[in-house]
Amino acid sequence: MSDIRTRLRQSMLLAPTTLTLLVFMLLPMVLMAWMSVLAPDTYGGVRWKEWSLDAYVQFLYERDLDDSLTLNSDYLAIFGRSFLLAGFATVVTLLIGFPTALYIALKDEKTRQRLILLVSIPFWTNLLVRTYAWILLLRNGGLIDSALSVLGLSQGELDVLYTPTAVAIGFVYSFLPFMILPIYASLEKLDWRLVEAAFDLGANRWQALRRVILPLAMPGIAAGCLMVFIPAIGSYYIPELLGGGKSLMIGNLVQNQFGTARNWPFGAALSFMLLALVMVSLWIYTARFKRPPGE
Amino acid sequence: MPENRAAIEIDQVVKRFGDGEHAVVALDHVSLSIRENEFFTLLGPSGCGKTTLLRMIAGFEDVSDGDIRLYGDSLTGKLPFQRPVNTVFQSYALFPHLTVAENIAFGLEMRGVARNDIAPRVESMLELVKLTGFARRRPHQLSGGQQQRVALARALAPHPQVLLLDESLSALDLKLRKEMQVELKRLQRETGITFVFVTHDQEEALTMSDRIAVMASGKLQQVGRPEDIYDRPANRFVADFIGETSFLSGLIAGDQLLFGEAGSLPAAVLDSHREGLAAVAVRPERLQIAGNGQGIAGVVSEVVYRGVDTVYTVQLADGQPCRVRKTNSLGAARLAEVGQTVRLTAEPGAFHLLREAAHV
Repeated sequence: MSDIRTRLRQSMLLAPTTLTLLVFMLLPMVLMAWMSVLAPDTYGGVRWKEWSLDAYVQFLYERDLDDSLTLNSDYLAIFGRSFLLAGFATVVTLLIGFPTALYIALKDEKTRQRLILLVSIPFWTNLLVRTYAWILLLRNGGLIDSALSVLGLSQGELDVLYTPTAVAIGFVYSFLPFMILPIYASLEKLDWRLVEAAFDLGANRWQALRRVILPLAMPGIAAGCLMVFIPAIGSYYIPELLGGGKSLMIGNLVQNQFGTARNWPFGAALSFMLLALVMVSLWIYTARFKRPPGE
Repeated sequence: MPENRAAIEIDQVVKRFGDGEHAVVALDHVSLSIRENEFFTLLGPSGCGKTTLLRMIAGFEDVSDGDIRLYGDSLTGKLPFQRPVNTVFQSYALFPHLTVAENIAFGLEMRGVARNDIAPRVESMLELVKLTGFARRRPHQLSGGQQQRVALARALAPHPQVLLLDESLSALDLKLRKEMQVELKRLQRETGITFVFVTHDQEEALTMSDRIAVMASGKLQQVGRPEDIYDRPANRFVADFIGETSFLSGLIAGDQLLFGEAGSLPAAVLDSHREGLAAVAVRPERLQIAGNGQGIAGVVSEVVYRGVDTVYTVQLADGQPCRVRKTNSLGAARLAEVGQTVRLTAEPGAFHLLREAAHV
């Protein structure tokens, strides 16, 4: 009796979480998975009773008029570009973020709090607005361009906006705090006496960094990389606004399929392939960093 | 102990924290000479500056004034990794992401020891600290005592000229600490490396050291062999900090040491002579409870049985409290009960005449 009551109590307590996960996580996913194996309706939407794997075939092949399939690398190229841009953003934010986090972590308590506040200030404004601001900064005749022409380095033709470079700049700018904060969190917890021990054993600054600080900050670094890479690879409006729709990324492609292209199954299939990509990255992360060193 | 040459010379060293008027003086003109192959202990209560001095030798703190020399070469301006000294940290500070073997190899790699030579050196260090077979473990898989041994092996592996040990045994339980005291002494003998040990535990210092420097509030109080420090403390602080001591005021007149109404003892019980009011210190085990007639009189106010010995607190007739300790032999009865009047005597030289004048 009491056993059943305890179980009932437990499930009641877990109900809100379970319900939230079911409604907001699992249900949309199932819906998308289902859509990805249906046939598209002419004006958007899907034909609910017509099964089709065309969406997944379409990713790699083009169906000619005579129903023969020819390899089409257009979508693979978009995936590749997304991967490259997100990867580039991850590397650059790491190169800027790690020294920044280390610098902050080495300051005294008061200064640290102030610097962390500065890092998080961008969150106070909407990201969309900040991305628009970058258009004003990067466009020909914009702030950066004008500044460069005053210095005689440009003749009003910066030509950066609406290129992959602009997208990369946008990524680095937007996601940098997501790299700094987790790395800082792991560096702040770091036992600096270990660094002292490394110096004591004859390690110079570089060796202490490479052999002690970096390995111990690894969980933070990995978390930061994921927190930059995952949103970057799926991002939609940064490539849309700064890339001018010319350098499409997965996010834009998905949006197109649900919008103008009216091919919902293909959009759903693309999202699932993105999901697979992200899952693989997460899997690598957990396989390597399930137990942070020292635990 | 042969008179070896000096390994470390600490010359008029001053350490100030902070600037100007708010500066706190952690070390006040400390001068010391630590000999080669010596087990040297810096002993003092917390905040006396002993750890600061050790960190200055290691290079983690700057010298505000004065100089520290290692075999004649000034260490001033040298960074920690440029000094041929290694430290065993209080917290051990083992690298959690490395195995035991990798921890021990760390210093060897940093000092550029050839790869092929590292593995046998690590193996011999493991043998030295009796941890053979633990090479692949991680620090968190080891007990406190084992971690301590790894920290020792790691610091000894690069053959430092001096090994610094910062309160290294204080995290261990009593039994393990006693074991490690013997172990440390053995390691020091076998490696022939100069050990500088920091502790606040006077018993630990007496047990292990060749020489001890007693420090208090940033100043050196006394340097000497354990026997010197215990038998002839330089001042009241040292006498009080090391071992148990009763402090008494008396009057030295001719060949008598007078304690007012309590009576007198022959002046020969003092280790030196001076006329007039005097402050004296006496160890409880150097006093005897005698029969009636001779010695100084008092009433037993407390008796504490401690297994190996019994401690009697005697209120002398002139009001001063004094302790007597007697080792218990098998089946022996108590020498006195609370409330009983007793007389105390002492062997010649048992009382140490302190440099200061009589205290109240």
